[in-house]
Amino acid sequence: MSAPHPADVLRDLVARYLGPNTARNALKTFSERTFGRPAESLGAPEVLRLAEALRPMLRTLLGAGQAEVLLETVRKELA
Amino acid sequence: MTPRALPLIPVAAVAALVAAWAATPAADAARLLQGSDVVASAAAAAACLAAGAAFSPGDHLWRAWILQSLSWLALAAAVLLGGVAATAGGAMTPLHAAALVATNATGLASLAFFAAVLWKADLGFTASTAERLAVWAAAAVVALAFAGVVLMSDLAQAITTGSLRDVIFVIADSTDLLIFLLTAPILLVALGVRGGALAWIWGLAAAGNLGWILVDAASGSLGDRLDPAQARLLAHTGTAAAAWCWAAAALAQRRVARGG
Repeated sequence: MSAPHPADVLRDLVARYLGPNTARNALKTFSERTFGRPAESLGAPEVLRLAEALRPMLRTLLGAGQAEVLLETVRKELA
Repeated sequence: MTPRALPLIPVAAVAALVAAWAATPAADAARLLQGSDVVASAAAAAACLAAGAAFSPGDHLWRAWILQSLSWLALAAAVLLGGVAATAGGAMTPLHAAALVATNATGLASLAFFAAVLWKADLGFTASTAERLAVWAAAAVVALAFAGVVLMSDLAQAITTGSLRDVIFVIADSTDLLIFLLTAPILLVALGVRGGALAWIWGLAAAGNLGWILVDAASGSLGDRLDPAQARLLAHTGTAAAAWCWAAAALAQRRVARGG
């Protein structure tokens, strides 16, 4: 079984809180804004940068503490 | 308690209130309704405080939850200060009026913080233009049909009498109108995060705001068609629904903030 795509790992972790639709759209929107291309084309280091781009949104919705816990989980999953 | 069970809290609380009212002699009904308001408001204040405590003071939602907690605390104080006489439609003291102004002001400020999340979290892309227009239009219709109608009636009354009680009613009606409008962005956040853990928080918060529809309906044309005792029950049922929905929303928030 192949490893999941890094963008899918990030999407699934974000979806736990924001739901599948917003997680998918957030990755799409922020990937286009940050890299000018779809999240599916990003490697693990770029997906980590994409997760950083989501930080302000996550801090607003989850609070700083829980947002950092989520981002740390993303870093561990993509390490 | 699982998130799916949280909506049962307001449903059970409202059902218990109606059942208790039906079993209570008419002479004691005002005391029962006052007690319901105090218990529900105190529970919402405690739950919202717990939700706020899960955030850091610099967090956007910390302010929203703390202000929401203060609003319910002020309402509990207002109900106690007003006493059974106020529940039955009696006179209003300046201290009672001050508590009512405080609950309206803090409640509105809290909802402004909740509503601002739609833009601050950049969630504008989660709904289509048609969905956004539909939600805003529905909020405007509810605001005008319930709070707007009562506001016009109470404004005319306040201009005629100039009494403190009628002026406070105008402030409360204006707050309700803004609450219904601010429910639009809260509902848009709820729709945007559906399927995620945050959906319970935002959905229950939006439902809590809509509880005030019953309060305004009891003061408007629907209340006119009911006997006074039933109209009072309808109004206090709305307060209970709003308070317990917000308590359930706060419990959902507490659960998410603790990683549950």
